[in-house]
Amino acid sequence: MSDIEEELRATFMRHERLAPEVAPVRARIDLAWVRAKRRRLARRIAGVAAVVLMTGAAAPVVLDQWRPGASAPVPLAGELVPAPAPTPAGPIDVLLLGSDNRLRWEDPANRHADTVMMIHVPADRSRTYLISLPRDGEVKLPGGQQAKLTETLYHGGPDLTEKIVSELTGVDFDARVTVDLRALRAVTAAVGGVDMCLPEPIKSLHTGKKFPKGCLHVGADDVSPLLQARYNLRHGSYDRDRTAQRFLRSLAGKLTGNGTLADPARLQALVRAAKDGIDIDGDVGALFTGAASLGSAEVVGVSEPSFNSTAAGRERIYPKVGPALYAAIRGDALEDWVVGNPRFVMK
Amino acid sequence: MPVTYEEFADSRLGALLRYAVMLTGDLHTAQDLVQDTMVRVQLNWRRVAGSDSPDGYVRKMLTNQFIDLRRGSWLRRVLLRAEPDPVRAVPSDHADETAERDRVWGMLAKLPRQQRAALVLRYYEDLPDGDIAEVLGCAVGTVRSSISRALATLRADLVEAR
Repeated sequence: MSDIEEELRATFMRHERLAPEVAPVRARIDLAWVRAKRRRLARRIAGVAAVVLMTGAAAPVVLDQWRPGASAPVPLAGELVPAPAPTPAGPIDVLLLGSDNRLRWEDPANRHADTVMMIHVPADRSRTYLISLPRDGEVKLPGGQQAKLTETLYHGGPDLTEKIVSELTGVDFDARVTVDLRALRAVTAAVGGVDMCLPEPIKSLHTGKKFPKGCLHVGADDVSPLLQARYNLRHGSYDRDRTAQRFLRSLAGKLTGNGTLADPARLQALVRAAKDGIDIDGDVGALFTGAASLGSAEVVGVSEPSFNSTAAGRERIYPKVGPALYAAIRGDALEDWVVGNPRFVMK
Repeated sequence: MPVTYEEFADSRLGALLRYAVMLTGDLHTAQDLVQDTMVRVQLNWRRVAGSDSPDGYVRKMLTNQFIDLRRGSWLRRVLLRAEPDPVRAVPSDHADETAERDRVWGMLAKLPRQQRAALVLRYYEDLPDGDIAEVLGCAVGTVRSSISRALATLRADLVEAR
């Protein structure tokens, strides 16, 4: 080895002592990370609000509020007010937890979700994908114990549900949204009802109301019996998930068709009319200006066509297509996946 | 069991800081470089943890940030800082030999960043040329020529200084 090479090695070694102490740097990194996360949230929240409205789920946006004994929610309002909502870049992933009743969220012993859906908006904003996860599908709790997906809410609130879905799918969610039927009823009333088509008749056990096969007009009073029904359906909660997807698609069609999404003022009026079911964490006005960027995107629903059970009779979540489906979500390549897997796509 | 960000930071932060010092030659710039890199590491933790070698991935991120002027906001911040850091003189011994060697340290600052990074990767991190090429995103031949050019520059400067 030449002299200069040896000198270089020695020089580097001797200057190791210049390196700063680790602990203070670690603290500075943690601080910078908190700031970066807030900026990212502020940037993405506009997109999230747009997605939520796209799907008609003008609904309580729950961000970090549920962690028991956790820090206060990130103060978004102050950061959002001065700037016009930017259009977020890149794909957006949201976890949607739907329940029939607000009490479900407030009473811990009674917590469960009727609907667990992943919302994916690709970077090109051409579509909104709704990917339903079977609520009774088997997952592993942190202790290794088996549970149904819906039961994760009871064990650890929406935080745990999100963590488990993230671990299952590898998808990092930008936000988590909880919806209840009051919000959907109010929005439906405000837009004067939506038109949707049912491939099979639905009879509500709760109210006895019957919905015939074919296309029909759904008013505010129809929302609950229609979206709650599952006991009389051939595939139970799987069919209910598809009913929800169809309803959201129709509602999104109505909102884009009549220009509401492109008009922040009308959007705000809509939300005000439905305020009982709505609880958005952030500055609503600024958020909604971002909704226009979605235009008239198409809504595509993805779900399992039929039950997949283990030998013990428990349900499995996308046992066959799961890995490819999740990879397509992560890689923002759902368009190709949907073309290759038409059985899983809502008609 | 996948490694968590916390575990990674606990075990690797010291080594990253030393590496950044060798690249930048300055404690404060090194600190800023590591801080910015680690924030981005957290933002992309899933991708980092899922790579073949999280260690190598982060070293690559840090090196790119150091080399790439246009993308790195840290450099802008460092350059536009209200009070520029005085050039840090390393506390030196009285021995002439040490002064001579610290001259090498000073000369490193004049090298193009890519050349300096190649030197640090070979003579401090002890990486084989193939790995250096991977970190710098160039061919092995380019690594070798950068290093030999850098060594030639240093040699010429030393001769001149003597």
